[in-house]
Amino acid sequence: MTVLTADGVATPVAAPPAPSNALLVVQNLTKHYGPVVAVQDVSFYCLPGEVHALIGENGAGKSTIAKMLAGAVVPTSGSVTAGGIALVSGRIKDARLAGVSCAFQELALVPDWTVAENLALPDGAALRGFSQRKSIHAATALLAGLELDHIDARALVSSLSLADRQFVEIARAITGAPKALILDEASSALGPPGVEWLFRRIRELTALGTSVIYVSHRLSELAVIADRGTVLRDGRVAGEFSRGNWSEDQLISMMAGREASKAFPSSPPLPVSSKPDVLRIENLVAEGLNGISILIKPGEILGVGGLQGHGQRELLRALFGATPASASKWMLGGRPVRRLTPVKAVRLGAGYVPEDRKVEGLALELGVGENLLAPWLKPFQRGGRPRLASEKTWISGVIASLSIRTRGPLENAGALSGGNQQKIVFGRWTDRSRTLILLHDPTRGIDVRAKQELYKAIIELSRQGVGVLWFSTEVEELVNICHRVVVLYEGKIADELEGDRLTAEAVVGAAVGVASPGVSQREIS
Amino acid sequence: MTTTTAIQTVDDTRTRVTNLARIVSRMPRSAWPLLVFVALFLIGGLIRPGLLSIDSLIGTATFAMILAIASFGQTAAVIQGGVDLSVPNTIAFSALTFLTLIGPLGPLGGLIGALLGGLAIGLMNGVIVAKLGLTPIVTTIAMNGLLFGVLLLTFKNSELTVIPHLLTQLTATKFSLFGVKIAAVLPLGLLLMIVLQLILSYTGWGRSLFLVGSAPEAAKLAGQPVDRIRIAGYALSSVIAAIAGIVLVGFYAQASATMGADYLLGSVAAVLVGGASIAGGRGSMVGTFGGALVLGQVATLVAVANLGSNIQQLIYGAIVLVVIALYSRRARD
Repeated sequence: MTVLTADGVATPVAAPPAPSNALLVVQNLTKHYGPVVAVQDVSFYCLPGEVHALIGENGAGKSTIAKMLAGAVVPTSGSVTAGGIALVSGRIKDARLAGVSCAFQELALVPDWTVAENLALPDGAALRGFSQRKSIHAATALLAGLELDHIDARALVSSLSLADRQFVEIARAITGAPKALILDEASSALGPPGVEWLFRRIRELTALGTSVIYVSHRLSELAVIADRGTVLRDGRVAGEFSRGNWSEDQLISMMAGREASKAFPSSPPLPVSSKPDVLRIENLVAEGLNGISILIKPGEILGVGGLQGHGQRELLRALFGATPASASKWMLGGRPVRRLTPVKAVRLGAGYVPEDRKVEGLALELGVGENLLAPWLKPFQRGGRPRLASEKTWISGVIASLSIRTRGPLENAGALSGGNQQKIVFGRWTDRSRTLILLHDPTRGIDVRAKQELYKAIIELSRQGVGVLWFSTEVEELVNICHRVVVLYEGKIADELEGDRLTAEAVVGAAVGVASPGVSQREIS
Repeated sequence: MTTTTAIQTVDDTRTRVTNLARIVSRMPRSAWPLLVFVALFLIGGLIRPGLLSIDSLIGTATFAMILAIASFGQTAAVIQGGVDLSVPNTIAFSALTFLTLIGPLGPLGGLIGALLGGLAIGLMNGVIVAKLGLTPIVTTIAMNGLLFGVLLLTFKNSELTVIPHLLTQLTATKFSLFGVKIAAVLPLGLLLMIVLQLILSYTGWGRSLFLVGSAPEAAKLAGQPVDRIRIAGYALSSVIAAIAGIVLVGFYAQASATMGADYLLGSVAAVLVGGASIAGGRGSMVGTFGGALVLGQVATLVAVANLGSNIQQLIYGAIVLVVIALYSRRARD
């Protein structure tokens, strides 16, 4: 165990005993899955009214710890006490009774239930009498109290955007007035205003003496919200920090175990190409989209900005033919398009990296190699091992160029970490003579190193003359890597930014519907 | 010093357990039902030593192969993420169509007619499930009921028994191999199994069945024609059920409207015991044959214990429940 001292030098020390007033005390927490060590000897504590951050790369054990605290996973050994009560039963209900509640990263909502029903779920409503009217009333009041008036308590959770689902998940965790609240990547789908909202809620809770465990990838958020924190690497504590005595570079090198920089690569100059425009679409209309016109040249990286739920998902799906759409003029790779389907889109040279890699991107039970080949299977060609053998060069090329950490093409895709899964969804389109790649926030919820590798790969695509349409929730990515950025607002293009005008302030300003900069700059820095 | 030794011992046992676990986890899924079958075969031998003979083995294998032929189509339907409960009456429909058509059209015409009938049934199942979005269970059970109506209306009280000689030769005739009498249906079924397994494992279409069954949305967004793959899966299922119908005619030398009834639960049980996931994306033809062997051995044991066929259905049902419970438990871990 190492502690980051004031001068930034990591020195090994013994784990200090938790102060007696600590609300949540974690000691030597260990979790093994068979021979795999997920978490080893992790100790930390959280005082009342304190925000304690848990950070680390994917697979560092953050989520496993969060799940153990919430009672969803039984620890192999070690102890968790909340307000003096020991929690090791592995039952979420016991944890909730002890005052510990959790907003899970893999949102634990019932998609086919309404928001109100989901919010009533933890109280064991099913066991008592359940009244739709009362629950909707209660849920509406609760949502209004949490500044979430835009979410309809009667709506099905499956009809909500990912960001709204995350709001509901957080609201549900807050409702029980918990003594300790665990937020596992709770901001991953939220745009800057959503993160602001989350921070207001956290401040309200900490003012009442609640302890908050904040699990996150976004280092910029920690500077604002975290009082103290623990850095994890490979399931062990790599270091600790407290407010004011750390820098992003230090944390990144602790997480990665080496010096790493957060610098963004810059986009390559646009190649002068005689090839036709990659995409030319005028007045695109679909559900949630209201007359969008876009032009992408070969090799151009066009960023799409905006808050969640303003039409980005719909735009990408429409451009890939996954949802019905129409346009007054639509050319893909120089050829006219009418009634696009995903099958046709792939044939015309498009590729799509969807939002939810686990459901929309991968067949988790199939191997890495077959997942890479998913778009390229043809009924009357070889498949399975003979195909893997004949595509060996391409597969190992993709694995090497994206540094996918896997035991080989036959390993199940479900066994990989999130960042590596994302690289498979991305990698299946590389070196396959594509003309347009559509990216739905590919760097969401993946670790720093994987992000850098994806940036490199995107720029390589651009260099090869592939057009890229890249929706990102991280404004920095848009500003630093893209050639040009369109910002969506209520299904329309609110602004198109290029050159000097392409700044973080302008992107965020257009995203919230105001032309002038100056809103929510904290998240951008 | 003593502490160190103690720790080492613990480590040793752990390594040994890990090694065993590794061997077990590397074993292909289709090997499990074969192991269970061997165990049941030995248990049978303990109960009655006479059962521990080659003849008894061949007898069980023949019974199992017929069940397996009826279940191969089901395997394809389950892998692509559905289930085909119209297998029983597709079998009967094909058998009766075949026997009706060989009069006017000859054996080849009968065969083609029966297979086309099966193809039409499968296409209908597939189009309704894939294009209209009805659940597979409801769609195929409705198709099963519909077919039964057609059978009763078209082939009134007919117990057709004029079987072409060639068909009997291909299925029921026994030949001698190293002094053991083997019914022709056994090698025929093995050939079918190998062909289908090769298609499933080594063709783009076979793999796309797994892709669609495992993650339909991901398959769609990878640009695969999901609906067409689904429909083709159901079509294959029904065509193989039609083949099974003709094989049954040849082997048992009779056909009736209710001849497929045993294969409703039987085919699902064989596929699931064979290691397929009822949620789709997993399964194999070899595994299904293994599953059929297990069920066949269970049937033999039931017969030896003189329990009757009702108890056999009860045991099949229990096996299906246990297998589904076991696999879904393993998937959660």
